[in-house]
Amino acid sequence: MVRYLLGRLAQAALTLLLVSAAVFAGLRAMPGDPAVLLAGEDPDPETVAQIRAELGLDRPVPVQYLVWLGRMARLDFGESVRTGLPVSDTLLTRLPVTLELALLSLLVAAVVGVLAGVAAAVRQGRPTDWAANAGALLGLSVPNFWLGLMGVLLFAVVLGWLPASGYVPPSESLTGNLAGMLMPALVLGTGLAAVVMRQTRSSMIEVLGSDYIRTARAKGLSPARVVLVHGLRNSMVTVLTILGLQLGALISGAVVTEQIFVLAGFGNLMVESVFTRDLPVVQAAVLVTAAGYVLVNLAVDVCYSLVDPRIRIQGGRS
Amino acid sequence: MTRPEEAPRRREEREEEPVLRASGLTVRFPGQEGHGAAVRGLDLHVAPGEVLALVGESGSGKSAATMGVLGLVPRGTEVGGSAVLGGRELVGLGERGLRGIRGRRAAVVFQEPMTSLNPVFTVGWQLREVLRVHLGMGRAAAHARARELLELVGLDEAERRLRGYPHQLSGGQRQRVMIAMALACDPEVLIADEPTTALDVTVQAGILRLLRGLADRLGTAIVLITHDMGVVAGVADRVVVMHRGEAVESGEVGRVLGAPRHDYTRRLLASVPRLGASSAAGAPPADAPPAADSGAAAPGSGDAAPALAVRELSVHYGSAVAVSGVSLTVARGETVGLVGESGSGKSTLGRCAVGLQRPSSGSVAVCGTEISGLSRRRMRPLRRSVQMVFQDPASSLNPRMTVGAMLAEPLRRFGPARGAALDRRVEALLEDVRLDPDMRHRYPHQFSGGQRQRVAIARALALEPDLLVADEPTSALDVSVQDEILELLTALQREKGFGCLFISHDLAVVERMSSRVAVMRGGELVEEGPTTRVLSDPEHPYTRTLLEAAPSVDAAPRATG
Amino acid sequence: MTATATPARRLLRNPAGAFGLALTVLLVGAGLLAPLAAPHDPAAVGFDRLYAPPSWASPLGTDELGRDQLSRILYGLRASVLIGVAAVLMAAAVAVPLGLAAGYYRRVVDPVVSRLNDAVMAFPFLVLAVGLAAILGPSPVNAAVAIGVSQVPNILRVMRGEALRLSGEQFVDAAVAGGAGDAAVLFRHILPNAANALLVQVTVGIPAAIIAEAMLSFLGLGVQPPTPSLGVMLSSAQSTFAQAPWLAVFPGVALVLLTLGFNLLGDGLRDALDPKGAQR
Repeated sequence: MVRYLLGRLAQAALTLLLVSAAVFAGLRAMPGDPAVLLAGEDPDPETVAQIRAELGLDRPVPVQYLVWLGRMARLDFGESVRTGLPVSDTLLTRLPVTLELALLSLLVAAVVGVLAGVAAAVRQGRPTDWAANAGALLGLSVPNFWLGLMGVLLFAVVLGWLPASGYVPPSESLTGNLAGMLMPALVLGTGLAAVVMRQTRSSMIEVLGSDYIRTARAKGLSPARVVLVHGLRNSMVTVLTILGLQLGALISGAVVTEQIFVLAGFGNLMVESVFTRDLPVVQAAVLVTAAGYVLVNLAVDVCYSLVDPRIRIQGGRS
Repeated sequence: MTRPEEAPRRREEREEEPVLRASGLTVRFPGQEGHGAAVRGLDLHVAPGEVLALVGESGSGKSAATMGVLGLVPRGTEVGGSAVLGGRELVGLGERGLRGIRGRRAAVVFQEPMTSLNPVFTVGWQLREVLRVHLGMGRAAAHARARELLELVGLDEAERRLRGYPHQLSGGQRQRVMIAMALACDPEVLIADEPTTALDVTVQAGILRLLRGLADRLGTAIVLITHDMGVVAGVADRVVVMHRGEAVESGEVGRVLGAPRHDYTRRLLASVPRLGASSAAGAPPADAPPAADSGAAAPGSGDAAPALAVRELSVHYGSAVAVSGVSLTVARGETVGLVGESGSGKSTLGRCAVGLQRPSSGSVAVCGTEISGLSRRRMRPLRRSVQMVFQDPASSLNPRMTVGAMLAEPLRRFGPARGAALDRRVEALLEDVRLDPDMRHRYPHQFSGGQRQRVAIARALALEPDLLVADEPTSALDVSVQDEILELLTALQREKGFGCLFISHDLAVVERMSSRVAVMRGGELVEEGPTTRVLSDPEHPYTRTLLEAAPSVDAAPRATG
Repeated sequence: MTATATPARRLLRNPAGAFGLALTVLLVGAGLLAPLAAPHDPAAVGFDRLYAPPSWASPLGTDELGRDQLSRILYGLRASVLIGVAAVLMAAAVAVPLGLAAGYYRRVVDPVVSRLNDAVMAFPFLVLAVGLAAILGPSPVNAAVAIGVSQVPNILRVMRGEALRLSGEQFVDAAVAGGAGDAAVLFRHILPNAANALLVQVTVGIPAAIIAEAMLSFLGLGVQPPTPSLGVMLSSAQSTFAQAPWLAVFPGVALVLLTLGFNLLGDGLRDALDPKGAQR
């Protein structure tokens, strides 16, 4: 178990290192010499050299990388070009919005996806299965930003039931917060629920056909117990994996969803910064999402070992 | 595999009061119409303490009958007739009613112990679950009972096993846990569906002894479902032989095995490979020549290097030792049988001989050329002198290639033949293995299992190797097909004169094929010698155990007689 | 033994798969033939017909510059299909050899490729696109590259898994024992057997890539106006929701039908190519 976790930890650290190197290389690959750009119009070589020394650009690239990595590790992302505020402060104000959106969508996806997947697997080939599959297919085929637009059109513009946009902090009004978040979370959760449903269904079908399920039935257990205790626990590993891997899609989806519902979140910040060429913010946002992705998937791997004793004891997956 | 002396006597008094009696039982799976039902009008009964064997080939309906009664069949299956368990009619009882029967009054042990236990729960949890659900036991009581059950089925360190998970146990141990779980609520009937088919012979013997003992000690009625007449002989009191959904013969085990009345029973008995058959009952024609050939030519003639010479071979996977210090030679034209149970290292040794596995130390020489240290590239030109036939013909042929392309591939690589000449070679190869040359345009899935194995043999012989390694070439095949393939191999060897390392777990098959036998256990070679000597007068205790454990149809007449 | 039907026939016999195939062919065809099929010039501006609701002249109405929406949707489909397919093919070109090598050379190649793959997966495609746009500026090509890169891990995982599974099959051992070199083993024995899985993964990758393209164009990171693109059209429709809802509805419907077609086709292919289905 310890060996397994240490191995995973080392892999995650290596991945993070690769991620940071990629971001650093991307910034270096930008056209134009930053020192020349900063020196203003018609610079004399001395000023450029001085700026270059100040920025550390005269040092070898590996050293520059290590210095940069050190700053990033200390969450020192510099200041926003546009607002002049420290980037880390900006991130901290924007993150809660996105985290709330992501967690609510994940909740929607997990609950709807797992329930529909189990129901479809148990009633394989019958109307329930058919309906769940059709729903999942639609969920996969309808882009969430268009679903969002249609949701706004129907519930906000035509019916006026829900606010079309805006974020109310839960500290101000919990109901207002949830009313504002309901549509974004449903919209973002739908596509994910479709993926989770399909995965749950296929892994449940496989599990339900396995010998130990036959054993459980032969023991005289109730169908509910067979499916929910013996079956679901075994397909949880696959479902957990898919949730971890779908985090990327969730983050991407969050960016557009925030754009549509005008939520001042993390994704919104990223898109704004691209258009204002606010590079320190883009760099920090990219790094933070990538790191978040790696850490969440590390957490998923730890969860595996809790769900599946074969990993806990032997320290490896087949 | 001897039974307690009082068994025959007790059996008679029990027969008056069967605990399970099926009459006119019919099972029809969804989609089966007319006379195609899986079980048609089956009558059987089993008394407390009695072991009834239900014998038949796959598809004979032997499993369908018992699983149908317990409702462990696909939705839409029709079960008709009657099956009374301790005075209660089971047919038509419905899912809810059957749930109270299953695990409580009639318990089942399945074939695949490796996958029949839930991998994510502890052994103790799974045992306690039955006790809690059916008997409403509290945790402490259930734990005590679970411990008692493990001891009953002969598992030591019960306390530690209860806390452990299934994957920490061997196949035989898992099957004991399955039996313990089945016995948890003291069922009247225990149905064991091919309980030992997936296990090694020595482990099989232990499980069968356990089942017999449970019937005798606890008075549980046992229905043993099996395809193996050898298993029947060791444990059963009575036999029902099933064929195509019907019982064709039933009776006392000694009578059925000793004097079968139905033609099908006789055929079933005849197809069982028999240890000692070749020496005792007049050697079958296929058997004599290779033994004579090799006996005369191989050990005596020292003119050519042996087809295979393995010296002090060891293979390690990390810290695990698969093969340890094994030395073995196969002369040209000779067949050496390599016997052992799963995990003995016999297959690893075979893979080393064909250069598919790199040894950790020691040497492997094929026709005098050392191959053990060679890189894959340097090995390539030597490939033609040593070829392999694999166990599973379903997996050893590329499903995306026609048989012709598959046979032509090595020929093109190693030979000059192209175009029509190549075609002729391919056709000749197919004829060699008694297949129609027109079949070369077909894909593997268009062949039967036996035909596929013929193709695999043709592919192996395409390069005219000096050594053929056959790794369990018949164990995935039905008994009758197995016979044909063995015959073919023997005939081809006589024609082509290659040396053969014949790997098998089945002593009877090895006896038939090989002039010398090597026995492996735990990576080591424990005994080697002429087949007749090793099998009739084994030196090593493990060989003796293997011989004793080998299921034999002759055991029953011997025991009763 | 019943005669085994070919995968193509099994696909056509499955109503959902056949419908998916028809839908895909129809919409891809309409997009590719947009210059012939479009009733109007998609760029023709008409100030006398701003925000015209659907009519005989413009069956799907006109937009804020009076351009014919049906024609713009057809051209938009064309952009979606081209970018989506190009991105997935690019991804496959990279992922297939790497995945096969990783699955086959488990000791040497696999650890390296798998770590790189993890690193790529850590960049959600939108984040990747945002980064690329920040550095190189927003453009359809950069969008296609970002989408392509983000498709690599999926295909690579599938191919690695197939190579891993197939290299354990006995026919690969038999080929090696028959003297086949690594190239022969990989391309003659492993790749043909992995082709079905690749085909299915590509077919489900394309609709995902199409949605991704629309998303990026919607955010202004992909196709740039005035070039017609479904994402761009939806983005500009956002501000005129109340007066011209058809501008937000129809491009989305076209997008849904296109991705639905591919998804149905992908599911149909999966079933048709499943070896377990072949025996039925």
